[in-house]
Amino acid sequence: MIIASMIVKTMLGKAEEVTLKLNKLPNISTHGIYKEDNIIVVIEAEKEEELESFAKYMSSEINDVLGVYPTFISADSE
Amino acid sequence: MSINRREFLKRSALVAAAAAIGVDSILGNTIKTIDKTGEAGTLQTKGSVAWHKSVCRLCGVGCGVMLGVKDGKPFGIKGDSENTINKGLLCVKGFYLHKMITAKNRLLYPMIRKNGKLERASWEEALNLVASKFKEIKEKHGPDALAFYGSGQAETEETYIANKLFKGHIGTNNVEGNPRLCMASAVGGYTTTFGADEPVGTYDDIDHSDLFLLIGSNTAEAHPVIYDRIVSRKKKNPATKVIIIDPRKTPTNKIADLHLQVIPGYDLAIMNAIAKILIDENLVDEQFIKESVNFSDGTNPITYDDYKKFLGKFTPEYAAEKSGVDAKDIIKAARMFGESQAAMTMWTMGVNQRVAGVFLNNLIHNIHLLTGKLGKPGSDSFSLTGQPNACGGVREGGGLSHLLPGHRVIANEQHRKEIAAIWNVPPDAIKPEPGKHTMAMFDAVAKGEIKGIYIMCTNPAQSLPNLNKYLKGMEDAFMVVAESFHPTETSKLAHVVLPASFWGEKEGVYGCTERRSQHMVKALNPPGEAKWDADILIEIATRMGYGKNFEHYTSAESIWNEYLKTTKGKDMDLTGATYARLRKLRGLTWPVPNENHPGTWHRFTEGDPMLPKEKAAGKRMYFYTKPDGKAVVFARPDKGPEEPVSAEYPYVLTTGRILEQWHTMTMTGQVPELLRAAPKPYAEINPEDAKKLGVSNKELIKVTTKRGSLKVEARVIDRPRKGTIFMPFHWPESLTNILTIDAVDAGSKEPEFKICAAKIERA
Repeated sequence: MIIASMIVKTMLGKAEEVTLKLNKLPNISTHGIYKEDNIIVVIEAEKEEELESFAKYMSSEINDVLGVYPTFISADSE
Repeated sequence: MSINRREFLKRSALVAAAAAIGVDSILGNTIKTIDKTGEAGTLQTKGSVAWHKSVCRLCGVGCGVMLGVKDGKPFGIKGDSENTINKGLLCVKGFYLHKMITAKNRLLYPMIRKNGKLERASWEEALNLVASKFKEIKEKHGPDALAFYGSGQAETEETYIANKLFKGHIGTNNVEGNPRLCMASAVGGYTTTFGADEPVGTYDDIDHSDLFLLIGSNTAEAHPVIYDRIVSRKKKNPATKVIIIDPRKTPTNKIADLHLQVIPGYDLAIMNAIAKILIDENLVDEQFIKESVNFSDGTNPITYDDYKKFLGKFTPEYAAEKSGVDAKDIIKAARMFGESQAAMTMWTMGVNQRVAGVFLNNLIHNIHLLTGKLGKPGSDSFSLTGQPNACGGVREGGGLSHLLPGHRVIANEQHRKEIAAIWNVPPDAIKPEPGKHTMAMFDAVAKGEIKGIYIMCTNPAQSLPNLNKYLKGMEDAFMVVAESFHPTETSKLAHVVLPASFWGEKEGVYGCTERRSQHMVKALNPPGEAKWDADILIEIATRMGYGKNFEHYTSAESIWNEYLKTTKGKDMDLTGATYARLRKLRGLTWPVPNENHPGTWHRFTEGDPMLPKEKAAGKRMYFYTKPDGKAVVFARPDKGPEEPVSAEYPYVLTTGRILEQWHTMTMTGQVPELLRAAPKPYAEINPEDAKKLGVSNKELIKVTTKRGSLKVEARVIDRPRKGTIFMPFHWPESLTNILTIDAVDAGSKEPEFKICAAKIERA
């Protein structure tokens, strides 16, 4: 089980739109928009592969994303 | 995993994310940290995970990371929300640091080449072999037949020991490090312009600037956390502008207000044109120039009027013709810079890895000196660093062939005497002539003149330019490689491979781009028989007969304490940065001359503890590292690349980095997630060029320079300028550096990785 958190930063005024797109992605939950343009995202995945290319996908496929910044990752076998 | 466990981790993840953006409440539920800071810089959670304060192992930004350890094994990573640099944010590379520790290719025991193959050996056998072979080479061929090649990723303590062993005891100044390949031109720029290396300001200036000039830097991919700070500044103050000068469109362009997409190698004309416009339109600070600036043609002093005459030819139209950029955009950029209240220029390899690298650094400093946009909040000419301890260990620690610790130089007799006294060696033990710079060193290896070389924590068999010229010599020499991972392109050629502790497995200090020294705690035991690099070097020193000056070290702290003596009273005084303080704090920015000093934001001005107040009286800035306290504006010609395009080689090849990988992939190549995100080598080619050549996206192309050929996948994309192709250099299975040129800057000796002429064919 992998649990990770990230801050997704968007263009001003685009955070809600980006959140809606994020909520459609599997294994991802959003936890609110803070300070206008910071979306807190938590990823819960059974396999590491599910984290693959997440940041790249976000940055390259969603135009209004300015950056994806990981803040926490754990790999626990329990 | 139980639900409770999952919820605990999820809550930890949310806490880390919330802390990173300064939020203490999520969806109405107050998030309280469950961490408590321990005395030794270690954070403990309520569970069985211990979180240890450290610094990211990858680029030069210096982000604070917390390494989680459970049952003696790496558990996870989180951004250090108390760190002033990244405030808890990481980039995707730093995210996977814990996986690099447990990589399958960690080197676990020493190996010696026998009958052409590397075979397992004992430490005793390996160390005795290295010491006896080095002694034999020194006796037969002299000390300069030996060399050390280190790294901007090694700790300051490790580089300090290597420097002391080779320069002070073996008796050769052939001590280099890979920062020669990335930062040497920045060093040359700072030392010629200001009289001392490293920036005037710090990252805090980003939060006060209203104009950013990014030149030769894909900040979004190479320094993502700095990019975020620029983005945050722009959002907080929407009037903030960003100008980019770069041959490529990159993800950084998302925040650009103006992009000057220059022909690679021709940006010096633009910088001189900007200086001319600033003067012609009276956007300069005449008072600052009068008080704090001298002018030079590079050989002799000149007057301000001479400089204005020199700039005469650099009209916007001239610069436009040379650079391929619209003259109106050059004028616009100059006015944006000149009219801003506070401006910050940041640059990296696109400026430094050039035969005109020092000149271009000087020209960047010029526009800050002419406008007085320096030494005050939001204004600085600020070089971004590529490695986590290039500034600390190598630039400050003196780990290059012309340097000694504490911003000293080999050529200065007094400097040699001061260091000899601290090293407890005779005053003449350190040779007065600089050793061979990196490319000369590997040329001497290729020619058989250097017969033994010790390589620590770096991978030159992939990272040197024009590789084919150097690989055979490396294989033939007695080459010792101390590494955490095997195989690398370099360890494959070694005679002896020594397993080294990796990040998290050793204590030490890293010094990052903003003059900040930060402590890293040892949180894990190294795997197998791996040892700390400093211990390995001390063992070799002892076996070579130099034990009396090395055996007194009892810890990393004892080495650091000796190093601090070399900085006392210098412009980079670190006396107050003791381990006791560094363990508690998130680093200190030098000068920090005593244990009560909080560190320095701007040098050469009020607040700098080294400022000679009487001499500086009445002046906003006094550059006390120059004889008369004045920095230098240089009249530098618009020198072009060493190898311009030609009829036979009509394209410019430029090389660089991508977000998911770092340098030669020794570390990031061990993380499957990062590998899958960027699985194979490629070359970016402009759609118009692709059409002309009949090349389709993902088609195999052959890229040829005067030095070699490579077949790679074409990525047809509107990123590189027409006539330019871009190739990352990360993948060991496709060595981009067999194509690059090994011509060096005359001053810095840094190679021109960024520009060479190439031809492209369908493969």
